Amino acid sequence: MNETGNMSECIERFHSNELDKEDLIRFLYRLEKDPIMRREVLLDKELNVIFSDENLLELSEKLQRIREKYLPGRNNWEPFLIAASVIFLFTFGILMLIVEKNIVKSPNDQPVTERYSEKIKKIFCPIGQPIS
Amino acid sequence: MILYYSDESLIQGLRQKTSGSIRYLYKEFFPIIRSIVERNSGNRQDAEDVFHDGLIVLYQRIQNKTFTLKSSLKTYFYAICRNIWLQRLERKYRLLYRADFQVHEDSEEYITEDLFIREEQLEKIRLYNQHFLKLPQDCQALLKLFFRKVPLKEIAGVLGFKDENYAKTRKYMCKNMLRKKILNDPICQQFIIYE
Repeated sequence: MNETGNMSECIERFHSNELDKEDLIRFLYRLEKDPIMRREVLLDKELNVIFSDENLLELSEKLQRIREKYLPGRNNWEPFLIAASVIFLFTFGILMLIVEKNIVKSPNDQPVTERYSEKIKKIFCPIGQPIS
Repeated sequence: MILYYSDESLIQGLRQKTSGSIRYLYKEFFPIIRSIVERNSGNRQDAEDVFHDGLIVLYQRIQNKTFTLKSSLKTYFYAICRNIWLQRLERKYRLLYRADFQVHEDSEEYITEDLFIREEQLEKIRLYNQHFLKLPQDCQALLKLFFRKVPLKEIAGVLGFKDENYAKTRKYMCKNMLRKKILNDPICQQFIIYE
């Protein structure tokens, strides 16, 4: 077993009072010197206590699953809204492109912009002279 | 599908941890808890956590045979969650912060009891459990049996391991994996300071 495995085993045996005298002295010495190991030992002890309550563990697990699946107002509308926005922008962009390229033409095949520019000229310049 | 649960049937349902009653509790009680948390410096995630922890506290209380409800379950649960959120705020901001909660219906009738588990402990249970659920399935099964104090020989038999020694080694690895996940989680680190 590697170093991590050894440490895990030592922690486990320490909590089960299975370490012999010599190993226990060595373990306690190391525990005093090594703050990381100290954290692991204390966390392990805490885990043994917390997870020993089977009912609580079962309930917490159930709550977690229900919370992720059924919580009201957690219907994840965001992806749909983003998709709708992208589709709208894409369609709008295409339409703008079509107008820009004058693909939409008048019945006489005259581009819309030209047709209207003529009309505008007539309205604002009735005597047929362009504004200087 | 039951559309309405009375307080009594909800308590019974929660005692038996039935999904239907838990879902109903989420559907009916969550909006009000979300509202108090969001009105008092919290966000939706905080509200979900408080609600989860509130249900754990409620579950513990209703296990007591002498448990009697003096107000509606909603009011009682509201008070539990309110306490949890206040304690959490105080712990998180390390201030004598007192939120100006709006008094809900007849919540004044609720007699404040000490929480069975401390608020910090509730958060630990929830977070450790979240990490536990991220472990591989075989590790979860093994550790569940181990925490239930099932002998390793039996665990090896149930999970189809070749022998007791392999079950022991696997248990060390799984527990180590769980510890590492918890220790590397920045949220967990805030209360794993044992120095």
